[in-house]
Amino acid sequence: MSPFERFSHAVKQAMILLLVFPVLAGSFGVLLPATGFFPALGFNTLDTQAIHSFFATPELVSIIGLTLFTGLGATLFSLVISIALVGIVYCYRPFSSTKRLLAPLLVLPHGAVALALIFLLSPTPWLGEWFPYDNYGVSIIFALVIKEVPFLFFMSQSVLAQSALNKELCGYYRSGLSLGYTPITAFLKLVLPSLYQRIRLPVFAVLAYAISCVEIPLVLGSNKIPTLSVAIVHWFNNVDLALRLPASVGAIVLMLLCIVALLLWRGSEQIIGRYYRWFVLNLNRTGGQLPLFILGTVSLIGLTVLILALISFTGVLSFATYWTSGSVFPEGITGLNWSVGLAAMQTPLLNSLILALSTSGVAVVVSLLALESEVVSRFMKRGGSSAYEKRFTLILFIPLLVPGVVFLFGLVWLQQLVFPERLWLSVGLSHLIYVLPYVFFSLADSYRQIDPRYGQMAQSLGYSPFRVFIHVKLPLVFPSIAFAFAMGCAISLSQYLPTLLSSGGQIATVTTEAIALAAGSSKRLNAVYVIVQGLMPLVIFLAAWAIARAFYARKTK
Amino acid sequence: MALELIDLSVTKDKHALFNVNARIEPGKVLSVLGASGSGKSTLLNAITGQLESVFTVQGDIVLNGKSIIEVPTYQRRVGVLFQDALLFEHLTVGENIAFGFQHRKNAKQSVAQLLEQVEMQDMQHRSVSSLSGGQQARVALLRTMASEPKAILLDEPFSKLDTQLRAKVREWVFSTVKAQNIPTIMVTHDAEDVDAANGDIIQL
Repeated sequence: MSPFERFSHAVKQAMILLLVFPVLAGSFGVLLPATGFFPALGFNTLDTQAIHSFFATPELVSIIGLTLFTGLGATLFSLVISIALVGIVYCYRPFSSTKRLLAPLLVLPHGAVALALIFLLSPTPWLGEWFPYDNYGVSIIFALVIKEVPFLFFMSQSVLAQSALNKELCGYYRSGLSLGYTPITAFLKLVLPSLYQRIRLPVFAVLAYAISCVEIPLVLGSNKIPTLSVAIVHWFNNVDLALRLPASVGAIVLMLLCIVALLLWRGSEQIIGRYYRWFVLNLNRTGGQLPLFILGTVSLIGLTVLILALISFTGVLSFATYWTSGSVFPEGITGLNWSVGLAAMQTPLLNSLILALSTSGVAVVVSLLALESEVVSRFMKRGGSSAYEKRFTLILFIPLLVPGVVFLFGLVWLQQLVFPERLWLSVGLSHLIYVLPYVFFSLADSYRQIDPRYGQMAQSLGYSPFRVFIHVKLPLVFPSIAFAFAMGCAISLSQYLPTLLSSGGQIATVTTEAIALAAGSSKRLNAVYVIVQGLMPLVIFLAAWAIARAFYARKTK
Repeated sequence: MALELIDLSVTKDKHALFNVNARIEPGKVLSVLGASGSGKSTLLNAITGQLESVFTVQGDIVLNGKSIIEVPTYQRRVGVLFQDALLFEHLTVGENIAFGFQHRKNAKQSVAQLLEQVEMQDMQHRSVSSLSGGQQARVALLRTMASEPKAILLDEPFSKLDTQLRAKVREWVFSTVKAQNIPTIMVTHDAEDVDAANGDIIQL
C-alpha cells in the first residue's frame, strides 16, 4: 500500500472514532449523574434519589405522552406526505421540475422555520387554540413535518438517482404500466417497496430527531406541558445545579423513549408489511392512484404556498414599524430593525460562518478520504466487504439516532475535563459530529459511481494513487463536493444545542441568538434574524452551484 | 522489450481460474480468447497489479527482463485501453493527451504533433464530449502512447465501434504498437480482431 492509501485508511478509522466515541462517552457522562454520582456538586455516592426525583416530576406521564405523540405523529405524516410527493414527481414529468421548490425548506434551520411559522400564523384568531403553544403538540407536529418532508423527499431522490437501482426500478415501473396499472399504483406496488428499504435509516433518523428535538418545541410548544427534551434542557440550565441529576435521568429516559419509538415503528412495519403484500398482489390496477395524487398535489401546492408566505411575511415583518393583529399590512415601513439587527449580529454572524466553513471543510476532506479508502479496502485483505460497509453506514447514523440531549451534556463534561479552555475546538467538534454524516452521504453516491477504470487508466499512465485522487477523481466529482460543502455549512449553521452547550453560551451564533430572542424580544427584530438564518445557507448553496457550473463551463466549450 | 507471463495463475476461493505461460515479443499482439467469466479481464488486472483482495496471484510477470509482479501499478509502465475511451471530461483533447506524458517538457509541441498524426490537429482545445467514437478511441490511444508504456493491454477496445470504424481504428492501433515495438496483449471475442492481430492465441 502506498503512504496515501495508508493515510486514507487511517482517516476512515479516525472518522469512525470521531462519530462513535463522543456519543458513547457523552452518554456515559449522563449515566453517572443519573445514578447520583456527581462529585463536582458534592454527590459522591451512587443512589436512586435522582431517579425518584425525576419520576416525581408533575405531569410526567403527559410529558412523555406528548413526546411520543409528536415524535411518532410527525414522522408518520412526514413519511406519508414524502411518499406522495415522490410518487407524483416519479410518475408525472411536469412535476419533476417542481422538486427544487422544496429546497429552501431543506436548508432553513429548524428554529428559523418555527419562528417564521409563529410570525405567519399566530395572529390568526381561528387558529389560536391550535397554534402555537397548544397542549396537544399539533403545532410541534406541523413544524416538524414542514422540515422533515423535504429531507425525506431529497433522501428518496438521492436513492432513486443511483444509476443501477434507477435502471432496475424503471424496468419494474414500465412493466407495471404495460400490465395495465395506473402510474401511481405501479409506483406504490413496484417502486416503493425497494425505495422504502433504502430510506429506512433516514426515517429512523427523522423519528429520533422528532422525539428529541429541542428548538421547535421550545419555540412552539406549550408552556404548561413541555416535551421531555425541553424539560431536560430547562433542568440542565436551571440555577439549581442539583437539578442536573434528575435531568441526567431524563436524558436516559429520552434515550429509552427513542428506542421504544423505533421498536414501535419496526413493529408497525411488520404489521403494515403484511397488509402491503396483500395490496401489491390484490390485482387492483388503480389502488391508491387518486388519493396519493391528490395528497401529493395538495402537499406540493401547500408547501410551495407556505414557503412563499413564510418568506414574504417574514420579509415584510422585518421592515415593519408596527403591525397590529388582524391587519393585512403593517402601519409603516422602516429600516431600523435591519440596522439594529445587523449591528448586533456582527459577531454571531462571523462566528456562524467560521464554524460552518471550517467544520464543513474538514468534513468534506475526511469524507473524501474515507470514500477513497473504500476503494483501497477492496484491494486489501482486510475490510472492504459489504458487511463492513453496512456497519460503517450504521455508524454514520449514530449521531443522528442518539438524541443530542442525551450525549451533548455528557460530552461537554468530558470536553471540560480534556481541553477546558478550547471553546472553539469544543464547539467545532460537536458541530462536526452532526455535519460529517450529511456531508458523507452527499458525496458517497457520486464518488462510489466513479468508474474504477479511470483510476486503473491513470495508474497505468504512471500516476500514483495520491495523484489519481487529486487529478482524476476529485475533478470528476467536483459538483458533488461543492454541494456537499454547502450542505455541511447549512447543517452547521442550523445547530443550536451543540453550540449552546459546548461553548457554555460564550460563542453566540445567529441561530442561538434567534432562539434566545424568541423568548421576549421584538418579533420584527427576530424576523431579521430568521431571514439572515435562511439567507446564509442559501447564499452558500448558490455560490457552490455557480462554482460547479463555472468549473465545467471552462472545460467543456 | 518482451513481456513474459511465467506460470501466471490466479485463484479465487481456492479455485484456480487459469494458468498462463506466454512470451510476447516487441511489436507482437497476443490474443486472449475465452467465454464470459473465464477470467480474461482478471488476467489483464493481474498484469496491471489491480486485482481485488479476493484473488490470489502466483507465478511471475517479467517485462524487459525485470520482474514486475511486486511492483505497484503506477510504476509498472503497462498501458491499458478499455472498451470505453474513458477520456477525462474536465480536460480538453490536448490536456487529456498531455496527461499521459512523463515529462512536461515540450508537451504542447508533442501534443500537436501527435494529433497531426491522426488528422486531428485542429481539435487540441476541444471538449472530449464533442468527439466521435473513433476520435475518442484515437485520443485514448495517443494518451496511452504519450506515457511511453513498455507493454500495452487491450480490453476489447474495438467492441463498441461500428464495423467500418472498427477496422480502421484496429489497423491504426496494431500498426502503432508494431512501429513502437511494444508487446501487446488483446482480450477479444471477435475473430476478425484475432485475424488482424496475426499473433499467438491463448484460450482461457
